[in-house]
Amino acid sequence: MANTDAEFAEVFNEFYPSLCRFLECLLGGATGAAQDVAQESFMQLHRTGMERIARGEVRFWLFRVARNLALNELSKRSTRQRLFGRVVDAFRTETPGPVEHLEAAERKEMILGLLKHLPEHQRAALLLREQEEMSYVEIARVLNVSEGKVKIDIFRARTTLRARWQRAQQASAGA
Amino acid sequence: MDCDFTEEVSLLVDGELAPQEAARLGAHVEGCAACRQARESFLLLRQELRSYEWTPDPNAQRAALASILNASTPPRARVSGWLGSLAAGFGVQRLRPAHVAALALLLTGAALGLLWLRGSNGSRDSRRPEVNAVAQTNGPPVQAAEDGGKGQETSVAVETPAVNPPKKTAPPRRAGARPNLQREGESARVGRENTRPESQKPEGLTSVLPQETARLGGPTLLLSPASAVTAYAAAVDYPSLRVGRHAERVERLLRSFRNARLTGGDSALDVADARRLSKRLLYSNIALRREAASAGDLPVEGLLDSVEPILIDISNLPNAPSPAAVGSIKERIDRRQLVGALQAQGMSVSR
Repeated sequence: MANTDAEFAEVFNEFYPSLCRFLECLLGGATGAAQDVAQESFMQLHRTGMERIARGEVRFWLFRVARNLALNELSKRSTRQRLFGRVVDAFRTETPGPVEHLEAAERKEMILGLLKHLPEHQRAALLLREQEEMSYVEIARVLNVSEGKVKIDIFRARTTLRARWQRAQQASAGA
Repeated sequence: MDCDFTEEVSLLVDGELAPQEAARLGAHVEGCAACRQARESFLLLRQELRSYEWTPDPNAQRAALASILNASTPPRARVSGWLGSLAAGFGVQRLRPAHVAALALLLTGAALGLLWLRGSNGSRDSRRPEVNAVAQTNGPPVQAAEDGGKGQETSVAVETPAVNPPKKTAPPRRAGARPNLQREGESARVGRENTRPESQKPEGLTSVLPQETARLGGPTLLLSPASAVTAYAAAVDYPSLRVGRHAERVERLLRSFRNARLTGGDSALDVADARRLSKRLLYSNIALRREAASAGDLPVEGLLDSVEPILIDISNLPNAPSPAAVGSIKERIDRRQLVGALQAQGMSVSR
């Protein structure tokens, strides 16, 4: 039991931060929800039993379960978030703070702002590629789709983000 | 503005092109402004996405880990009560078939000793039927063959809880009547019953065996090791054992198929054997994959899903397949590393 727990703790500490980052980007910056979903994913891993999953597969298993849970979370929140997000945007104020903190926060917001325009499946595929550095084959396994779909999703996501980014840069240059 | 090759540039930055294609496209990109810009944009986007940081709060992370470890108990460690204590006696988390077999031998020895002490004339043990018991199914007890006391093999009535819904209890038994028994042929029903979700299954041997032990006279219970192992497997971990066995069989098939040579003298016979075996395994593969899907066992479902097209292709091979057809299947077996994955699955169960 102690060995199992130690092994589980090792996996948890290794993948928890990257899983939270992936989920936060996938869920549009909802830090609390991302952590909840990440912890639920690890809970399922613990219930399933580490010994039932090959060590090399644990990472993909976790991301697959986490993404499915995140989809549930997104569908649950979709209506509420649509309405609530508009209200928050309307009343959002700039909070002063250290320059570095502000820059990091702005950068995060910019990335999340770009990502939210992508369909979920494109966003998930792109995040797994760029942040987790998974191959197309691995992404296909995590998302349970074909390798061809991964290829197209990533390309479309990049094309969309590139176009938005260029538009944003042109707008800021014009202003 | 975009070039026709922009989509391939996306593959190029991901390293998903074959070396020759990558070199060809690389040369094109150098001379094409649109592709060069696309590559730069894609790489810049990558940099931006990777710069997104998520720094964990160490205290919160520790607390989350502790809460998960405290809140959930792995299913394999969940064996509690009588069987759990027994497992603890063996110094393990859960009983393995080997432990049950050892226990069966121990009990057999104890019972034989008891019989020797009591003598064989007129004792109630002599009236006990001696039929191999594999598992107990739903409904009223199946009467043993009317040869009580005739058989030579000493065995036991083991009720396999996985097939007994808790609410459907057997009717009260007459005093001195035979215990619940089942013949070997009925074991197939166990497999079907085991396809039910975990939540509908009774607790396991833990809940039934002690009662049965008490009812039948405690230590006089005799366990045939083979039957006990089968019953234990059916009760505690039957689906994963079946998956493990299936994985081992498929692994053997794919390994032998991969290593077979078409140029050999008896190659046609090998292919025919593989085709016949593949057809058999295909049906169990489909059934197990569906079970895994309904149970939410994603790794097993994924593994069986990736094996299925290979089994179909082997099953559909003609009597004299072309080297290209066989080579294509072999290449897919290698590329997807199916033999290794199946071996890992088989080993994860047998551990």
